[in-house]
Amino acid sequence: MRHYGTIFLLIFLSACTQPKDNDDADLKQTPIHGNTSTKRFSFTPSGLLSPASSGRGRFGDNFIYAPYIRFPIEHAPAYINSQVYGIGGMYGKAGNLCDRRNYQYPWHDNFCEKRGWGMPLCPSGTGHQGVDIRTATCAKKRYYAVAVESGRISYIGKYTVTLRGNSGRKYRYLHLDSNSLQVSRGQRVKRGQRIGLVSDNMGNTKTSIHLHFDMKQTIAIDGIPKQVYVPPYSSLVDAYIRLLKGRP
Amino acid sequence: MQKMFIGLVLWVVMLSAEGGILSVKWPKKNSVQQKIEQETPSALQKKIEEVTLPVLLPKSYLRNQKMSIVVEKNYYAITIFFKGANLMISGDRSYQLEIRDIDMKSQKMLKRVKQEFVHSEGMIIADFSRYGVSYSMQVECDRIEEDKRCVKDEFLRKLYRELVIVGGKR
Repeated sequence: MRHYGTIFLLIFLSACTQPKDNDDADLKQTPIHGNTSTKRFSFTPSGLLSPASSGRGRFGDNFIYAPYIRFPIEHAPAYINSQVYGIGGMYGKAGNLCDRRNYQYPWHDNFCEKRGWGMPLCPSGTGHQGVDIRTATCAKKRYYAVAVESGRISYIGKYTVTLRGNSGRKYRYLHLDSNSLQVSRGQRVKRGQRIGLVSDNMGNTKTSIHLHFDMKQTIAIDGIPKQVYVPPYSSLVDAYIRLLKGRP
Repeated sequence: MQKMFIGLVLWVVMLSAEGGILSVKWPKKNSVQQKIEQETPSALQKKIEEVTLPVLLPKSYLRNQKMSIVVEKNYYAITIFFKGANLMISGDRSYQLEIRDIDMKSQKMLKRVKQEFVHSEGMIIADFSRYGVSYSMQVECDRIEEDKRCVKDEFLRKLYRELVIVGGKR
């Protein structure tokens, strides 16, 4: 019964033809040329999780759920890839979290990566609710996270900042350094305004230095609202390309 | 499976990427509701009087002094501060996507979906719809692996059961 919601929400598969296995997917990377000093940007397709053992994503869902948002890290480069399955991660290859291979293109989507958390839009019904983003280097408290759209800071918690954009979407920023926050609860912010420094803050629980970013939006199904975490990857690829082109 | 797929394709056609504002289905005021609103501190009522949706709060925290309130016309977020944890409750009339004209059977199925309490990055979250709008509750703890409020659902479930309308502009 609990999965009926999933059925309705699957209609987001606007361009969705999910392969049986990630290995079937087209691994071709798309190089993007920016006019910045950033090395050539490339990314693997949305929903193609890496490594394949990290779960099944929403392969082929290229829908931009949050159009024209600003990339949530102030400056490029930044790297979307798995923390848990990356080098030095809990389920990743042995090594250091700061290994330079964690800090290189291509990007890898990690929305829906294996977790025990309920996620109606993930093929397995559970998974990661957002994406993890590494900053340019492994330095802690050096890189700012910024507002992806103008709106209002609706919540500041122990290690969470929530921005409600003027669109009504809610964006969560996790693991920012609490002492570095540039915003307060209830404050109106403009797109691109600094929020805080990316760190490894998760209360007393250990995590790597990264920004967990997720987006929640409401879908009205015949007038009945349903809030869901939507895939941010395509929106972030779009935002990052604009950032690289100098038009964030 | 094939039927479901066809259904999904049809629904995709009906998907509208246009957002908007949801209509509120205000419940009738009864004596219980009137009593609760009378019990709600006037300072709190004043802060939420411009919110155009029912403002929900757990009954036992109506008089809590340690709370932060963020309000907009179509949105509110209230944070209650506990020792070692925060509770946030928000309500929102906006939507970003729309699906229209689902059949009666699907509508019934949708209405029967049980309330879930979802664990998320050390928090527990409950998203739900009531009175035609969407609400969210979440509890976040300092010590996420040890604090029972963030390990088990009971704490949030209890607060969820206690929710009452404390105000809002009809």
